[in-house]
Amino acid sequence: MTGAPPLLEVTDLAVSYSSSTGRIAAVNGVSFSVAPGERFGLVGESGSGKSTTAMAILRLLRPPGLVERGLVTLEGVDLLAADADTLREIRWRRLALVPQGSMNALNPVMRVRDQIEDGIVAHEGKAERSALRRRVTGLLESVRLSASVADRYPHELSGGMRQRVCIAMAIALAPRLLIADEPTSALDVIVQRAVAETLLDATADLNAALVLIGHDLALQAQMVDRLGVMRAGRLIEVGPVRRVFHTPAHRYTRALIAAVPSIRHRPRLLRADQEEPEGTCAFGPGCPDTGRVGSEARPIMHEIAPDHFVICGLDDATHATERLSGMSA
Amino acid sequence: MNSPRKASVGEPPLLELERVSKVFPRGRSLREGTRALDDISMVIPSGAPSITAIAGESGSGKTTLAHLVLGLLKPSGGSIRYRGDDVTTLLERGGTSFRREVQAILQDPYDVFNPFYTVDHVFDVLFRRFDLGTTKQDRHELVREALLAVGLEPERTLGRYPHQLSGGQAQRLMVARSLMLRPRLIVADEPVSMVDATLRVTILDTMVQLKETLGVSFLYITHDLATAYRMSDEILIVHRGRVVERGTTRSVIDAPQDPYTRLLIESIPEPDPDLRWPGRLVEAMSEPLEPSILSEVAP
Repeated sequence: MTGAPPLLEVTDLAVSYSSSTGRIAAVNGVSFSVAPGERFGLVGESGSGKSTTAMAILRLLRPPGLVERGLVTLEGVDLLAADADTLREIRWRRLALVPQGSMNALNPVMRVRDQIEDGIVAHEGKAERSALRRRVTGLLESVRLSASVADRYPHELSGGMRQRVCIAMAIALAPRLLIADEPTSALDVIVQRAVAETLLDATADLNAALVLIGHDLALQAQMVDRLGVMRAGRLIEVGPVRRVFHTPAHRYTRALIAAVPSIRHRPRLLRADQEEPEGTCAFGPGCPDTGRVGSEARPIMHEIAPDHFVICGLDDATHATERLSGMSA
Repeated sequence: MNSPRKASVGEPPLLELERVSKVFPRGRSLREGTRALDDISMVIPSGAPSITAIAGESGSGKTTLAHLVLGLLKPSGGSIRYRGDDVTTLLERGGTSFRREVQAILQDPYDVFNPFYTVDHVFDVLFRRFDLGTTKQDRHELVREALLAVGLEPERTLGRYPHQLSGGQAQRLMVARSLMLRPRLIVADEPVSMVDATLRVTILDTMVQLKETLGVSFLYITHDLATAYRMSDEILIVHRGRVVERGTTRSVIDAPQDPYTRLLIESIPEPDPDLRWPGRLVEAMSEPLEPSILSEVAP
């Protein structure tokens, strides 16, 4: 949302999953954009819709997941409408995924070298063997792995090394955007830091943008420029990472930040009566949503400071009632 | 329920580990086996209740330690004493009071539930196994009291099936179950690692409140130094089966002496964009570290 035209633009994205009792909204009207080279974080607890949002952008959503509405563009190309050929052209070259849990992401019966080379050949066509070898070595180097890793099978590597291989594969064709879905969540803290730093360095070297999906607010604080907070399928607050951490506007964002333990200070115990009551509007009496009814009743984001957006803290039902009473008053 | 306990002179420690080791044999050979724990000594005093954290990464041996204390494993060397008595011996003689007074809270709360029964079943089993409450009314009151103590509303909890509870509720229910036995020590092995952040705090804070109001001591096993910092009084940092540093939690985390502990603490992401990791890890390592850590960080 800065000066440069966005690299990725997501507008009013909605995804639902069908179940025996009907369709359940997993992502409900999410909009955000990512500038070239920017690092954008999407944080939320389980079920918030953050991973579903990522899968929808990548067109990796599987039934019963279904995109209900919305627009996703990458450098102007409509991803949701793209056919199989266009997608093949875009994936890896312009948009790549660093997956969660790297054991499943790698083929267990292929050496690391063959997996990386296969991907390159599939997109660029056949190449000279020695040239491919040099590229694999270079890629491994850029994620701080020694060249000998190329000849190993995934099970011969530690969790941290496997995750580095996944990063090497994601950057193989120099994409403009990397989407990393909980890239370090299975790792111990020291290895997590090392892999996170590798991911940051690799993205910076390419001048690529990064969308970091994760539940860990502390990790987001370390890694991103802008942060979006998701809850129950909605993006409830977006802003520069410092603003979101230092002056969070939404009640849920405040609760989420307060819940992260720190080794620098030891807060007093949070008692139930100190929590903010549910159903408090982020704006108070002057809520700009007051008076909006009917089809307009869907909560929208309001810019409260440059680049800092927040949704009114009320859920839909309360929203509608409040608005009606606001009108009659 | 229990009132806070006062220290009495000459009472043996609540829990004492003396030079405990555990080797998992490879085939029949102990010598070639895996040394999961090596020469661990520690004391949880009786008297004033306390929370002792055992913190370490995967493979540190911390879960093995929890299992040894609970009597689920026998030590290969050294001894573990509960209020002065050897745990292995206690259990060989039946160990009813040990089984009552030392309770466990484990990582996955749903593990303990049978999905086909309502959660009440957990309490029914407890009443069958231990002598608690004489009348049905008594028992119902005990359950209510325990649920309220962990912040669960009995009316909205009992009669439900496990899948109808959130992870946080299920975990608190397990704490409630333990409380009914009036435990003196609760061994909590990664009790919040499968729970969302906002619920995590309530469970940890519940533990601190139980220490303060009911006088329960905790052995808190975790990989997460930040939660240990929030709630524990004493801490032991374990690495590859050995204690590398110990002391009051504040002194260890504020001024770590051991190079591994220091690296561990420096690597914890701080939830503040103004306090980012200082430089890159590879450059940050000023002291020589074991090749095993080095190979992970900068292979």
